[in-house]
Amino acid sequence: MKQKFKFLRLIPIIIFVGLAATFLYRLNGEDPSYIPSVLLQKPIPQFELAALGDLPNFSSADFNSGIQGDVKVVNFWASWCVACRAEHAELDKLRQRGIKIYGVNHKDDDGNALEFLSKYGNVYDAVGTNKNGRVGIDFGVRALPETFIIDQNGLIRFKQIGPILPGENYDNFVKQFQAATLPIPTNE
Amino acid sequence: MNKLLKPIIVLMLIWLFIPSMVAAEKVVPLENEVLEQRAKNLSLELRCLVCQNQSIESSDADLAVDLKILVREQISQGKTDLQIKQFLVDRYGEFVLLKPLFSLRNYLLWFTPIIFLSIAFLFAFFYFKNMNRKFNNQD
Repeated sequence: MKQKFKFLRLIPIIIFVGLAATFLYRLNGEDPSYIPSVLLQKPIPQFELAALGDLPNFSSADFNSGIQGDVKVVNFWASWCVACRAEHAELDKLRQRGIKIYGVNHKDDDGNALEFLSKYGNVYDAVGTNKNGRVGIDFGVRALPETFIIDQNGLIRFKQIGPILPGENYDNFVKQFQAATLPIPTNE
Repeated sequence: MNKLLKPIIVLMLIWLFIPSMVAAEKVVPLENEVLEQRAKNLSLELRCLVCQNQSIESSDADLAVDLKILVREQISQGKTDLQIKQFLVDRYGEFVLLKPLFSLRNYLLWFTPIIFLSIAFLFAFFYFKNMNRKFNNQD
């Protein structure tokens, strides 16, 4: 009887080792500050924006054309956002590839926003302003810049948190954009 | 000496509080005290998404202020706490809640302590039972 249950004594040690291994694995694993967006594969929120100067404006009605391959990029930016300046050249590269970029000017001053665009170049096919930041909240935006890829059915297919920097960020963004031109893989 | 010191101390104290007064100026408290208290309680349960382990109530980050204003707006519109939480969860995910939901995918999270405690009690029970038997055998 006593011999038979001796292995039971090992159970706490096994549990401890198992927990320690799990913690160690998670510690070195993924970035804990990365939180996947709940809005992925979901329709974009309804929104309207105020016009910025005499630049073409847009709203949520401009998505969901249903035309195969009609994928658009929505970029949240502001003139006060340092990281937005950092990604400006990358956005320009995307635009030169023929990618349509729609800019949401988030909690900014119109004069400063227009100055930013005239100084660094306007990369946006359309741009609108949202002073109170509610459109950002509807998109689940935490900090600028954030960039969304919207497919032809108006579904959010990818979200880039933080600037699109040259190299890995940019390459991944282009890859995600190309993936968004195809239907959502069913095994996801 | 004492006469001079007092106003200086008072002035220094006021000066100390200026930053917090300036930072908090954007959130206009609701006139109804009960509703304002509700807004504060709810804000304590919502995570400041840019400062992570802090509630929006205790944060003056830009987004936290915006969310505090939004909470007050929705309370004035007659929304329930649950509806407001759902509104934010729909946009920012469950992460926005400081206390995890008691949902199916969180059962493991909530029950793990109870499970481990039960295992510990089970061990303790057999251990003492065994000791008891040893003790009885010695007699």
